[in-house]
Amino acid sequence: MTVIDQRPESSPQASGGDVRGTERMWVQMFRVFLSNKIAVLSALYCIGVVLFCYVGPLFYHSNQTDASSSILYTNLPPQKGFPLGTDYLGFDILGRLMFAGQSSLELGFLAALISLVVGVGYGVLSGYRGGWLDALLMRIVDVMLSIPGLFLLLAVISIWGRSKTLLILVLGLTGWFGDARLLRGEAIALRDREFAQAVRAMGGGSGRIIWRHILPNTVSTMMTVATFALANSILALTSLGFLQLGIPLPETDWGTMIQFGSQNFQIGCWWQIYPVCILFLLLVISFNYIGDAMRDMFEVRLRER
Amino acid sequence: MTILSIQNLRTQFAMRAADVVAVDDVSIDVEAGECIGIVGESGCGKTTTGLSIMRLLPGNGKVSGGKILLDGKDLALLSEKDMQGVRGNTVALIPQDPMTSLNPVMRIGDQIAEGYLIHRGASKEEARQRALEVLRMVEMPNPEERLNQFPHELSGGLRQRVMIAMALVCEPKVLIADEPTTALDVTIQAQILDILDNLRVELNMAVILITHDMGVIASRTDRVIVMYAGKVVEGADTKTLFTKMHHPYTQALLSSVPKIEDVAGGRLSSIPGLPPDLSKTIVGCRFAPRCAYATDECRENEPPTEIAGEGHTYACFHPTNGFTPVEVQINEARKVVDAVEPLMKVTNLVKEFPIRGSNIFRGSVGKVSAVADVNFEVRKGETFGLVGESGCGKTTIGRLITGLEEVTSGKIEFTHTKTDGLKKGELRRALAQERQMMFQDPYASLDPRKRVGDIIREPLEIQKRLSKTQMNDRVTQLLSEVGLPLAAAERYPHEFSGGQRQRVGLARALALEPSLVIADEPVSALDVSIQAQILNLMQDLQESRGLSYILISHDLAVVRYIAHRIGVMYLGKLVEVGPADEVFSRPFHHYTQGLLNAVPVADVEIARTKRGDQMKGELPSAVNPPTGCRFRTRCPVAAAVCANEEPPMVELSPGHTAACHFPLGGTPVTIGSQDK
Repeated sequence: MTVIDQRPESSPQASGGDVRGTERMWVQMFRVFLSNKIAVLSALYCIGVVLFCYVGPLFYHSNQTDASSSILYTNLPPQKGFPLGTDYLGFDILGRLMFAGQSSLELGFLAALISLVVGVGYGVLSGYRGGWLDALLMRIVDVMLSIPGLFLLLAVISIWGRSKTLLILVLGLTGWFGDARLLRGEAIALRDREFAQAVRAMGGGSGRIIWRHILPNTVSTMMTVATFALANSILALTSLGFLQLGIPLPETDWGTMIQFGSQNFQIGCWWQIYPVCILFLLLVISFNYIGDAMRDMFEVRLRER
Repeated sequence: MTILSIQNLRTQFAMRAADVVAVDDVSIDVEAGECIGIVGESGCGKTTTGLSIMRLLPGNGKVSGGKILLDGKDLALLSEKDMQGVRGNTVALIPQDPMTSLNPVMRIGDQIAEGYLIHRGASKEEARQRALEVLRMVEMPNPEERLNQFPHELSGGLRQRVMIAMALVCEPKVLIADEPTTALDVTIQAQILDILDNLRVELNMAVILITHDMGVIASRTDRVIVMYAGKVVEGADTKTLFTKMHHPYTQALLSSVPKIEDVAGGRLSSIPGLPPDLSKTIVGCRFAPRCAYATDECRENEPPTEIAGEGHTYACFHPTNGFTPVEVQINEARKVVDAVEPLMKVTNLVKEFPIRGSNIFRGSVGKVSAVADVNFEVRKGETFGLVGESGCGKTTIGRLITGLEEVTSGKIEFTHTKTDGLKKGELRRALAQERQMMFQDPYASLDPRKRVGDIIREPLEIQKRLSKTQMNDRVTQLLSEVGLPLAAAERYPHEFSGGQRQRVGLARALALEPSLVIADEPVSALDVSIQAQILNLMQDLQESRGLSYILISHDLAVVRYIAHRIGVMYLGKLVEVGPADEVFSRPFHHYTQGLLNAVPVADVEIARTKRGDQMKGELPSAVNPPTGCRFRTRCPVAAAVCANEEPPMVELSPGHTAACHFPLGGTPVTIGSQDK
């Protein structure tokens, strides 16, 4: 045992030391997503559905437009030539699933996009500005939220009719109230964080704080909100279709298919309702799982341990 | 008599990647009636040791080895139900944060009585009587009234008394106090620690005091256990540990604590590097990578625990022999700061926050007087320290100077920047070149979604004065100035340790080459060894760049160490301003004296002699501040004149002013109508 009495010569200039080398943030986030098996499965399913709707028709040709020639084949059960049977107009169900899926997905996506943009803008503005503007904007949201969404949709559609564009606008503009509230909360919390204040101290203005600091930090909320919004708008469109207020013929969507299928279900045409319902149900569930996984994914910086 | 014996305790947490052994082979014996301190940096396992005893580990943690013998009964083997009979009954815990540890919708009396009802099977009335009794024991003012109050009606100090009362209600044999005063001001800390001390003697209770504060350890404990990276590295009675420590970590830890009685201007010795990552397998001595004495032997073998004397153990191959005081290098440049060229001047600064009513029209129903008529100046190249209890307005002054709050009235002027006639945006940018802020919380002050390079570049982008290459050069230069590798620019804040983040914060503050940096509690969130690194860095940069700092801190030792002049604030008022050495050695204001008395000193001899004589009471509300001198409600010498007349700032010795009718060490100041 050696006893050292003297401290060694003063240590060299204290340095901050090395930075722990971890992987890039995106790689890390992707890893977290992959660790959620059910979300990966859901994502695969969603990709599958999109491919099915858009690529499927290139390989699987079926009559979806000519009602005069299809009339010979109404309400046929699954058989050779019609793997999933036909509907009340004689259109092939498998092909129809793809055809209806295109409009359902498109409408859902565009409507979700609109509601996300409006909701984020409205919420962040309200939260960041605060004061009387916040109070006013949020009371408006309260009023809108107190009206059941479906009634609002029905009212607008029965007044202005139902074209594809109008449906997108209406679905998008009635879906953002909840998102706005969520984003407002985020904005309030971020506005008072020290890094936002630091921008102020270095002479930056509100625009920079909102664009460069608040919005990027709400990405996790935005992604989650977006996935749920997508599921919700497809769901809302389906409800409209079920109430016979969906996309008018000759086009169609999944909701309209379910509507007609449910009528013929009573006369035993199960093939008109099971495939579309299962496809759709699984899609909505998948979106929800993906939304959950997204939330975990963006929290990665909090639990990198 | 040994009441609690921890033998070879091992606690581990199951993490995503691997198991982390947070407490490894820890043995501690606790005698009845003694106060044993566990000290170490964050992450060393001191809190986990406490939680293991209580078996209150979070879901992914478990005691995976060793014994916890309480009166010969192994707590590690008890069923959850039997353990419930132990918690709060024979072993009790005082948690760190009194603000979040009380149920906000339950009356104080009921919360205290709860433990008594559970363990003693007492009737409601008996439990209430008992609650009242323990509230008296913790010297709660107006205990009868408090029984029916809710937690939000109490201040932090009073809430911590309630927490102690709750812990004591069943007269436990062992009390675990986990950083019981870290969230409190020094004056309140001293009161709480006194209460704990008295009760320990009165009830012959063993107290395990877990803390990072060497001052608290020196003044309150009988024995100390020093932990590092989950292991006990040294254990001894307090006096031996502070004078004849054997482990280099203990020595390094003690020498990195700034001491209030030190000669100002010395360099703090800091421990280079960071504690090891416990999720990895560690070979050899855990402190070896940071140890100045480490040899190959240390890096290959784990040192066994050796016995040095009665109750003194250590684990080191190359023990040091006692405390070798670090050579104090008086910084010449710092001494020369008698420069009087003023840089910034604050005149009659007032800030009032309106209290808004709850209805939609938001009428103002009152105001909080946060800063009331404050005057001071900061000179070029000096550090001006602002000290005071929380709520005294020191942070508000920092925010006013940085432009984060609008002044209610008064002026903040920079000598070199003419602000007249500038538009709002121009003014903001012009002032940003004069002063920058270094924030308190190294975690909240950096945008988690930005790379460090972009964070440091941001002020340059806002100012738009440099080309892209120039900006990149500036970032590179700043990174090396604050001691970070160049690769840091590409990384995100979550990959940095607390101390490193604070370096990034400093680099960002310096990007615009301001003449003044306002540092609001820059090191209060850091461990002492890291704290020393940052303070040294701040001094180096001051020297090389001729910077001025306003250092806002509640830690008098830190301020004493780095500041040239000091301003003491009390409830929105500046009560004393003077050269650091003078304010600390010959304070004029009774409040300054009270603060100095309350600071725990990391030296056993001094700490033991300065007990008692503590400031009483708590900070009054700033909504209705006391008339006249705002300190009179807590002042030992307050007289009628103090209530009627506000004492003016008077220069009592050259460059040293104070606002008091009866200054310490001098004759009363006679002014105006005071002669009665």
